[in-house]
Amino acid sequence: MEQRRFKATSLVLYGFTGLWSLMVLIPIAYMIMAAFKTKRSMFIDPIGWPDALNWESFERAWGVGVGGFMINSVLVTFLSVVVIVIFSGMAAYALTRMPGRSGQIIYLLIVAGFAIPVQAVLVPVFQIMSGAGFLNSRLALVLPYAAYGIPFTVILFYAFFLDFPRELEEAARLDGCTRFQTFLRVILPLSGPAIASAAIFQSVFIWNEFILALLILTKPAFKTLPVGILELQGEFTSDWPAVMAGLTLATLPLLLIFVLAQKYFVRSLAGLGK
Amino acid sequence: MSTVEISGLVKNFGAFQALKSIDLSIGDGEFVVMVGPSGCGKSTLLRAIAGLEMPDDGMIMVGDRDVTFEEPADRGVAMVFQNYALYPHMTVAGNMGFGLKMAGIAKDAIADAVQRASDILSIGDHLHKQPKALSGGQKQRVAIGRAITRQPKVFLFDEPLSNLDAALRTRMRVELGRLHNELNATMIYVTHDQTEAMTMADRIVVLSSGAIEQVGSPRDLYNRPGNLFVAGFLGSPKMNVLQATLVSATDGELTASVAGLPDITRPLDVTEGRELAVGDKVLLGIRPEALGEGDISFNLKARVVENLGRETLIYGTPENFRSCDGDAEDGDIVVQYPRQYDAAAGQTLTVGMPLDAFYIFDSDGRTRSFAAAH
Repeated sequence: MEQRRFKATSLVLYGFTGLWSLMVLIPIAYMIMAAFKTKRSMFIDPIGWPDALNWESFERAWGVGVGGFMINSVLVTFLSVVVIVIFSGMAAYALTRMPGRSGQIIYLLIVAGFAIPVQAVLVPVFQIMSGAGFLNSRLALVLPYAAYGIPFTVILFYAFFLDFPRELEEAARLDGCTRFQTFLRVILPLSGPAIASAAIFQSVFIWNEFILALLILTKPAFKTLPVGILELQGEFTSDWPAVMAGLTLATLPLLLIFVLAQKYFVRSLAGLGK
Repeated sequence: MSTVEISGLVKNFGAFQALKSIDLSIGDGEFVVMVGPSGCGKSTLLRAIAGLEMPDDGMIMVGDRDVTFEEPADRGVAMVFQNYALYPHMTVAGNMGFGLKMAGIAKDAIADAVQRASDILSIGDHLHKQPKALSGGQKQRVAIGRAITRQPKVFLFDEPLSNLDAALRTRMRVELGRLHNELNATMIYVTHDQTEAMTMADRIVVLSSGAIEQVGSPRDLYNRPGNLFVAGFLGSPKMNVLQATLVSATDGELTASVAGLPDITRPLDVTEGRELAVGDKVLLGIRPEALGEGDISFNLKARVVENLGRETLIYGTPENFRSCDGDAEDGDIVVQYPRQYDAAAGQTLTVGMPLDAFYIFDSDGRTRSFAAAH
């Protein structure tokens, strides 16, 4: 009886997971398939297989400047993630080591900040960036991305540092390290998994971020991939195979990173439950 | 000079007083072991000496220098932690030389110091390895090596052997003793294991509830415990304790009466303490190994028999009297034979009892009469 119930539960769970996976995978599969179609076949038979492996749409996408957009995306993502990891790491470490309840109170405020949706602060962020003269610059994206990414990463690091063995820090103090040296020479080198988790999670978010980039960047030279691909959409026509090719190119680096560092990505989410 | 002088040391954690005005002098080259039950403050005291806990009051001197509020690295102490606390991302050599590196010592000098320490501890073959590639015993050696490399005035050990298995613990205990003789350094060692305390210490400090109960040589503490706590804490199995009433307290002698036993008369060894009078409730203590042969005998119904090879422990219920404390069940006592002894649970045994092997404790728990040496 017990075993039958277990089997039924497993079946439901597997069924749900399978369906969910299909929902996620079908659009990705369609995007890759559509990238190889011609403009004509896209309109005649949008869900049919491509007649042949047609690389022209990739050429057209590249011609619009996907290469440049990719470099912009890489730069913005890299810089934002570096800022997020450094500041979140130091903040979370300080919060976990603060005596009394002050650290916990600040931590709660940071967690509360995480609950504010990006859309709610779009206009103020735009005004601040405009006022500072940062519009159409990479810094205009790096700063808000970092500001928005820090709370989540602090939560992630906080859980990690709470469990970090105190004896190692005490040994470092006995060895003559200051607080900062302890952080730099002992804690940071041993925080690889937490840093990797944070970096991957934030990279995915920043790489895909669209709405803020759309507001802040109008000059093609600074556009990131999600905004740049829009160039393939005209007012009256859209080159859908090229859009799909551009999206495939944009997705590919992240897919690769995800496949290579899947365990850190999963851990970044699992660690939040600590 | 590597003396340690602690005076009036107080440490509070909120409302909890972890250390209650500790005074302790440790001589140059002395091996002092601090023991006590969990939460007695022994680790807090060690950490205060190391500089990892700031005291609320009092003073700590290392040599002739007041280090009470100095940074840990500036005190001339090195500490070996219970969990080794080796840096996992550094090699053994890196771990051992890290303190010197932070002090800005030249690479060649660090390499020499690491080599010297590794020779002393026979870990020269492991210098290039990462800690995760080492066994527990090797890790502990590296942790000790890290302390040696810094050439401290005082070595601090915080239960360093408690993570090792029994055989390795015995070996490391001997090795630490050898190391102490070789380095002739001042060592302060915290443990809850009384075997470690009894075998390694020049002097033992027994702590309870944040205060020092007694300081002395292992034999002194064992034979002449200052109070019931020390008497009960040192010795395994614990001392058997019986409730008694004073029937005479004259001419430097105390006579106590215990239901089911003849009156016990012992000399009054300690005159300080509360005034003793006839009718006072006192406690009598007798160590399990003192039982077996003696002036009188009693019947004991064995409940549990533990044959340990070189000795036999028998936990049982005496026919005529009851104990009031100890390792055995309520009312039971424990007898320790220093040999193999054929007995089985349920069997009634005749056990000898020397009447001069009793300690007498007053109602404050203070020892007033010591047992005669057997």
